[in-house]
Amino acid sequence: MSDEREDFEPGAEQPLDLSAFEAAAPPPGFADRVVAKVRAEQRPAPKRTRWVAAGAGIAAAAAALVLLRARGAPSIGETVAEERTDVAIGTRAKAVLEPGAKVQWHGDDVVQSRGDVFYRVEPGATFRVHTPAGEVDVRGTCFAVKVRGEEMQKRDVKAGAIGAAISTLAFVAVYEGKVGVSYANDSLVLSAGESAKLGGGKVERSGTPAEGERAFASAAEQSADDVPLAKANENLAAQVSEYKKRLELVATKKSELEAELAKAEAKLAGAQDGAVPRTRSEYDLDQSDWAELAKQGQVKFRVPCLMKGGWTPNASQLDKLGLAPGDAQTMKEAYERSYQRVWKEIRPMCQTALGSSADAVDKIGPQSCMHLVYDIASTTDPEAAAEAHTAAAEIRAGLRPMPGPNERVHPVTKMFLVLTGELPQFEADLAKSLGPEEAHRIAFSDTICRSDDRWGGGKKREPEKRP
Amino acid sequence: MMAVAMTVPSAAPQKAAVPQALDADVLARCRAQDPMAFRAFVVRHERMVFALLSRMLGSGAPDLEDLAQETFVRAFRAFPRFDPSGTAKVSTWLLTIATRLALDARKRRRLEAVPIEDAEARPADSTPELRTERRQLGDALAEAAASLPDEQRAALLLADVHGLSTAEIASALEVPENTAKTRLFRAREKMRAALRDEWRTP
Repeated sequence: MSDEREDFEPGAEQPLDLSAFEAAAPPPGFADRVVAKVRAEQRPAPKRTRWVAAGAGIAAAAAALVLLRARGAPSIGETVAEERTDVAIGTRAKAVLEPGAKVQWHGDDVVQSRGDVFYRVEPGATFRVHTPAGEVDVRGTCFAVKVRGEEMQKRDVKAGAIGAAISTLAFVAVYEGKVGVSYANDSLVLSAGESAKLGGGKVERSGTPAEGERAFASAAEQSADDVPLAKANENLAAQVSEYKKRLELVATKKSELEAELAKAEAKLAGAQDGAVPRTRSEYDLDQSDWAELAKQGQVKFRVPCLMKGGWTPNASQLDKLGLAPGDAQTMKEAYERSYQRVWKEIRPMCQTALGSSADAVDKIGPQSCMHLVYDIASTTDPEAAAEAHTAAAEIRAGLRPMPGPNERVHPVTKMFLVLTGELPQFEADLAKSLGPEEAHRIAFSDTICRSDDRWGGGKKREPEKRP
Repeated sequence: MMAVAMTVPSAAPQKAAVPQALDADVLARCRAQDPMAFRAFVVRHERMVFALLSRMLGSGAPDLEDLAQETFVRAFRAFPRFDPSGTAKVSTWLLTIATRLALDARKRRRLEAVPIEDAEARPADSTPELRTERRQLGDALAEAAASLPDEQRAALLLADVHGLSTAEIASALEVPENTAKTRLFRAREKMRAALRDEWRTP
């Protein structure tokens, strides 16, 4: 065919201007439809070995999300990623955490203490990410935040940021929409395709995400090599001085606490005839722990993953847990029974709270039901809900009697008693097959599938015996 | 077609805006099959893919969105094998997928290009007269392009709209580089000839 002959030399052939040749534009929502398609094609994601989500989980039914959104549900949670982890934050944000990243959230307020996180936020009211180096405000966008350096330790973000901002760097890259980034009075707005570096009390543009990331990686490397305070900018001298004072105070407090700890350990060693004090999981709580939580208006618990079909550890997880292959079935069945116990209690509470049919509640599932029960009770009577919240901690602390089976109990108290009481039952169930020591070790292992939750929002008060 | 006294410039043509390069982090996440990062990738490249497909198939083609979706779905599946350090740019790689899908669609369904009827004026064409002329020129280009064999049209669009080199076009069309050059030359020649009678092309 003459058109296909290959002896042609193009020579001075000039390109054509085809700019007037109109083309169709992508229809609205095209990207979302593509993503829905690829998600549908993806196999179910592997179960996370650690998941902590007081907010609506990834698996929560869409119906539940709508309800949560409509009621403006508070969502509180914390995740430390051991592997790449997807997390639903509240009702309109999703985040992908890289290993090592840590986030805590309360509604649309997120504290990212460390690591790399990629966020997608649906449009709505301001969604805020606090980092030790500054803050990121968004209204609906797609962006990434990376934090290097000193981890923010305090839940009180503003207080935590004073010292940390000196020695911590954060990087923000925007892929869609706009975000505002700020530290103190220094702020700027980033559009899609832009990035910024936060650190040393400053907020600076850093070009495109690719350029910014290169500069950030280099700065973070440099920062890691430096002694943070010695290298701090002269302009930050006042802040450094304040930071030192804080450290001195902390050191003094630490010395006092160490002295108290030494005394307590000596006392315990005497009482136990020289036995080494037990190292407990932070979720293995005794009455004094509960009294402290009650004081802070908090409830904290670990619940095995609530999965109807149970959770079966894979070969690698069995190996980590020190279990034999035959124990996988034991674990699965224990998880199934755990689900049934919790759902048997939460399900009617959810039905009552929503005034819905059993079928509707079944579609929502236990994880979202917990939030609905709490949210509806808080909306109806916030004071009573806060009281009931703390009452659960006080019951666990032994400061209040455990309610009887027919006693009228506030739904928030009842729900927390169910959730805080589940792990001991799960452990006792496992103990029948594995023995008590193994069951205890497994129940508090970080390898099992579980939800580690801390719910704030209760009434704060000094512990005392109550009727 | 009515004749309009307007030249079709042949030098320094305006290329379609190349999507700004995504950072390595997003591409790495796409390779790791992260749908959220992939959404950013889609948003960045959707305009380019629609531009190519609609010019290949006609902007009124009923399955335009299906093909665009299929382009991205295939890209998502293939992302783990895409080497960002290789010679192929990600946009070229994506255009290759879209081009092959468009050529397959043409072969399979014998699609006829649909004339562009509702083309919008470019912002630079500020007066009604210029907008009319621009639309007429666009219609003429679409008609001339529709008369080209599919492979020639693909070569023309990849070169003169998306700025691909002949080596990249050859790779996209899976033909030797000289064949790609020939197709491009023939396409330009035919386009000029088709427009010559009614438009003053150099």
